[in-house]
Amino acid sequence: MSDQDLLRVEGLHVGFRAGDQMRDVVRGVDLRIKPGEVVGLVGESGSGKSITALAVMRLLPPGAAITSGRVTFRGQDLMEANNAEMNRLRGGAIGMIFQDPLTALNPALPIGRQLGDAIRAHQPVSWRQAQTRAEELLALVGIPFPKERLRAYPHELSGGMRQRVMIALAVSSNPSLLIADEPTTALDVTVQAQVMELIDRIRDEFGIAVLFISHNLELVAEIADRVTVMYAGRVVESGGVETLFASPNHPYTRQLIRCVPRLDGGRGAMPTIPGLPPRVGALPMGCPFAPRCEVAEARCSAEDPPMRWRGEQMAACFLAAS
Amino acid sequence: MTTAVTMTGATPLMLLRDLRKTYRLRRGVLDRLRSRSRDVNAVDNVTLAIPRGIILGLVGESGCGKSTLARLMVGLAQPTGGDVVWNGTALPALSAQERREFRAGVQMVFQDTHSSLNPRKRIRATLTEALAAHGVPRSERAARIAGLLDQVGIDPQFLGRFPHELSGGQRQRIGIARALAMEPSLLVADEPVSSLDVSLQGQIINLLRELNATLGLTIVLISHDLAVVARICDQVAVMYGGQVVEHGSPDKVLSAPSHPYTQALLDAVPRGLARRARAVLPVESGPTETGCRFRPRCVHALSVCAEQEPSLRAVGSGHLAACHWRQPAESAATTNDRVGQLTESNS
Repeated sequence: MSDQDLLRVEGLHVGFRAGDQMRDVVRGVDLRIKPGEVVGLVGESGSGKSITALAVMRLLPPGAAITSGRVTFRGQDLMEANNAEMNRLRGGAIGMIFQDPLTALNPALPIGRQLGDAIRAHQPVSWRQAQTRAEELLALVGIPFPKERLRAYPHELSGGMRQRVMIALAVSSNPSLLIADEPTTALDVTVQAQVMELIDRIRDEFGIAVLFISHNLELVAEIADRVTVMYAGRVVESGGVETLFASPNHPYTRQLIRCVPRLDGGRGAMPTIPGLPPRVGALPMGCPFAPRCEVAEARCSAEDPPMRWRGEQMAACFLAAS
Repeated sequence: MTTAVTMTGATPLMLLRDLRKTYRLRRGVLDRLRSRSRDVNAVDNVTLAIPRGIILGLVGESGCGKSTLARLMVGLAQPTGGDVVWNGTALPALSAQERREFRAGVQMVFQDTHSSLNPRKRIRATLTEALAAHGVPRSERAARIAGLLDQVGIDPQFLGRFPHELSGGQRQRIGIARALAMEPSLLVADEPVSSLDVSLQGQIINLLRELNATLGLTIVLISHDLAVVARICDQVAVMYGGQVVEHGSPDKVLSAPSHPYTQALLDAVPRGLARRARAVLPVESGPTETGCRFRPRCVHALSVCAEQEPSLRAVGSGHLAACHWRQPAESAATTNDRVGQLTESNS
C-alpha cells in the first residue's frame, strides 16, 4: 500500500542552528501523498508547515538542516539524492508555487524568456518550440493574449496574473506533484477564487498531486482530499477532509475551526484561542498545545501525547476518541 | 454648510462630502517631456456619514480606494475635491484649536505593526512620546501608561521591551494603546488583523469591539474579511473603483446584497466543505470611460449601464446601492438626501 505513495515523509526533524546546538522547528512530521491526491497542510505561522515543504525540496535556508527522518519521492530517497538529481526534480517532476509571485519571478526578464528557460532546463526542445509551448501554457492558465504577454515583464502584470504565470512555470514540465505554499494569501478574495479554480482544473486535467499549504482552513477544506494539521512543529491531527472538519478529534483543530470567522456566524465577540503558540526553544513539556487547550489534564503537560487512530483519522492527544 | 445634517438632528462625527482624491501618474521621461500624464481617481465622489459611536466596515478589493479614503479621513492626504467635515465643520475651516482637537481626535491603526512602531524605541518610550504630544504632564504619564496597557490587555512587564520582542498580536495592541493615548473619538483601523494568525485575530477584533462599547469610540474598520465585518460592524460600505457602491447595515448589505459587486465578493469567500461551484468574477479589465465602472465584469449589465453612471440611491430602508439593474432609471437623490437618510437610519 505504501508503495503507491508518490511522496512519503517519515519522522522528519528539521533544526535551526542556535549557537552550537540545533533547535528543532519540525519535530517528527509524517506525510503521505498518493498520485493525483490533494493534501492540505494547515497550521499557523511558526507551525513548521513551510519548513516541511522546503525540507522536502531540500531548499532549506542557511542554518537549517534536516536532523533526522526520511523523504521518498516515487520510491527515491531524496536525502540520498545528489544535487544534479534534485535539480532535475525541482521544476521537473515537482513544481512549486509560492505566496509572493513577484519575488519568485525575475523582475528583469520578460515572462516568455523565463518560461522558455524553465522548459528548456527540463526538456530537449529548441528555443522556438519552447516559446510555442510557453504560449500554450499561458493560454492554459487563462492569461488573455498569451502571445503578446510573452514579452511582458512581471511588474506589468497584476498579482493574480503573476500567480497564473507561476502556475504555468510550475506545470511546464508535466510534474506529478505541485507544492503550493500559501498561493493565494497575497491575493484579493475574487482573484483567490480564480486561482483556486485554476489549481482545481490543472489537477483534474493532468492528475497532478498537490501539497496545498495554507493557514486558511476554509480554503483547504474546499480543495483537499486529506488534511494534516500542524502545531509547534508537530502533526497534531490528520485525516480525510470530511471527517477532519466535520468531527475534529484534536482540541487544537476543534478550537481553530471555531475561530474561523464565518458569514453565517452571527454577531458578537469572536471566539479565540487564549495565549500564544510556544516559541522555538521554549517548548513546554508534553503536548505543545496543553497551555492553550480547553480540556487539558495534568498528564498533558507531563508526557508526550500518544497517536490515537479513529479509522484513517489520527489525533496526537490523550483525550482523543478512538 | 451643515444644513443637510442638522436637519435630521444629529451631526455625524465625520462627514465625507463629494470627496475626491486624484493621483497623477507620470509614466516615463519621454511622457514627461511631452507632458503626457494620466490621472487616477483613487477616491471619486465619495459621500459618507460616520455617525458617533458606530463601527463602520469599509470593504473592497485592493486598489478600490479604501486605504486612500482612510488617509483622507485622518488628514494624511489632502482631498483634490470635496470636504472632510469634522463635527460639523469642514477641515479647512477649522480654527487652530479645533485643528489640534481633530489631529488628536482621529487616530489610525495600521496593518503592519513592524513598520508602524519605531523598532529602536522601547514600548515605554513609544507610549510616552504619544502622551507628551497630547500634552499630558510628565507627572501623570506613568499612571496613564498603566491605564492604557490595562485597556489593551498588555502586561506592564513589556514596557521595557522593543517591538521585535513582542508577538504580532501584542504589537497591534501597543499600536492601539498609542492611538488611545490621544483620547480619540474616531479610530481608523486599516486591516488591523490581516497579518495575524486566525487564533489571535479574534482577540484584536474583540478588543476593538470592547473599546467601542465601553468608551463609545467610533471605529472605521477597513477589512477584506467580510465575515469579521458582518460580525462586529453596525454599517458596511462597499467600495469599487474609488466609489461607494453599496452602503447599509451588514444584515442588509451582506445578507441581501443589492449590488452585483457585493454579491461577487460574497461568492468569492471560501466556504470550506460546502465546496460551492465557484462563481468566478471575470478578470479585471481596463478603466471604463463612461457608465458604471463595474459593468465590464458584471453579469447583469444593461444597456443603460454603458451610458450612465449609476448613483448611490436607496434600495430599502437604510440601504443604498449604486446600480441601474437594481434601481431602474429614476432621478438620483441629492447628496443631502443621501446623508439625511443615513444619519436617520442610525440615530
